[in-house]
Amino acid sequence: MYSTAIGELAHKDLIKEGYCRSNKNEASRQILSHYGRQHALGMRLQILDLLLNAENVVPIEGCGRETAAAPRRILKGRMKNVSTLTELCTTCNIDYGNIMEEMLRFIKQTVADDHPLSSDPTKLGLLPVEQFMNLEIPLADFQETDILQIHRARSTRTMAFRSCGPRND
Amino acid sequence: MKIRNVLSAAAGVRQLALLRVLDPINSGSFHLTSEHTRVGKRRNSREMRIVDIGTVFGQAHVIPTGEGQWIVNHRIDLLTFNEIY
Repeated sequence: MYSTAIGELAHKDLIKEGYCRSNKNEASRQILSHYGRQHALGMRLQILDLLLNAENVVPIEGCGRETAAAPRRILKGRMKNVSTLTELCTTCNIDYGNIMEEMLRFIKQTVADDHPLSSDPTKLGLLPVEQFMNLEIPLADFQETDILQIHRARSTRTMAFRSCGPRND
Repeated sequence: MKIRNVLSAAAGVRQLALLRVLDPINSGSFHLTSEHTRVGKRRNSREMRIVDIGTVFGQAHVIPTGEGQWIVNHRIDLLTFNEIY
C-alpha cells in the first residue's frame, strides 16, 4: 500500500529506513544524521546536474573543467560634456595630478595586457574619455545558478542620491 | 569611464572605474547601537583608485552619518531597491 500523505511518507523515509540502517543503539541520532546525509547528497547531485546542463558553458584552456561564461558589466548614463581626462577631473572636482598618478599606477599594474595604455602623461591626457554615471553588474541570485540580479552601482559625486535630502524610509 | 587608446595600433577601449576607497571603522566590527558595520574616509593614504570594471564585485547601500562616515546597510533588499530607484 502506498500513501501520498506527507506524514506517512516521512514516517517511512525518515524514520523506518533510518532505523533499519542504524545499529539500533541510541537510534534517534543515527536516524537524523542518516536523513541529513541523504538530503545533502541529493542537493549536491541536483546542483551538479544543473551545472552540467547550464547554457553558455565555455571551456577555459588549461583549466581542465568547464565553467559558465561570465555575464558582462555595462556602463550607462553617459555624460555629454566630458571628452578628455582634464574635463573628467573638472566635472568630478578632482585634482588632475592625482588622477594622472592613479592612471599611471593602474597602467603599471596592467602592463602585461594585450593593449596597454601609454605611460606617457602627455599622451594619456590627449586620449578620448567618456564618463558614465552607472555601472550595471549582473550577479547570480541567492542559491541560483541561472537567474541573475542586476546591481546598479551609481556615482552621485558630491551630490546626494537623486539630488534629494535625507529620508527616513 | 571608457578610455580609447587611439595612439596604439590595436586601439582598444578600456572600461575603468574611479573609486573612492573607504576604510572600515573599528576593524569592521558591528556597531553596538545600529548593529551595522561602518566605513569612513581614508585620511592618511591615497583615497582614490582606478580599477578595471571587471573587478567591481557588486553594489552596496551606504547611509551617510556625517563626519565622513557611512553605515553599510546589510539589511536592504537590493532587488527591490533597484526596482524602485
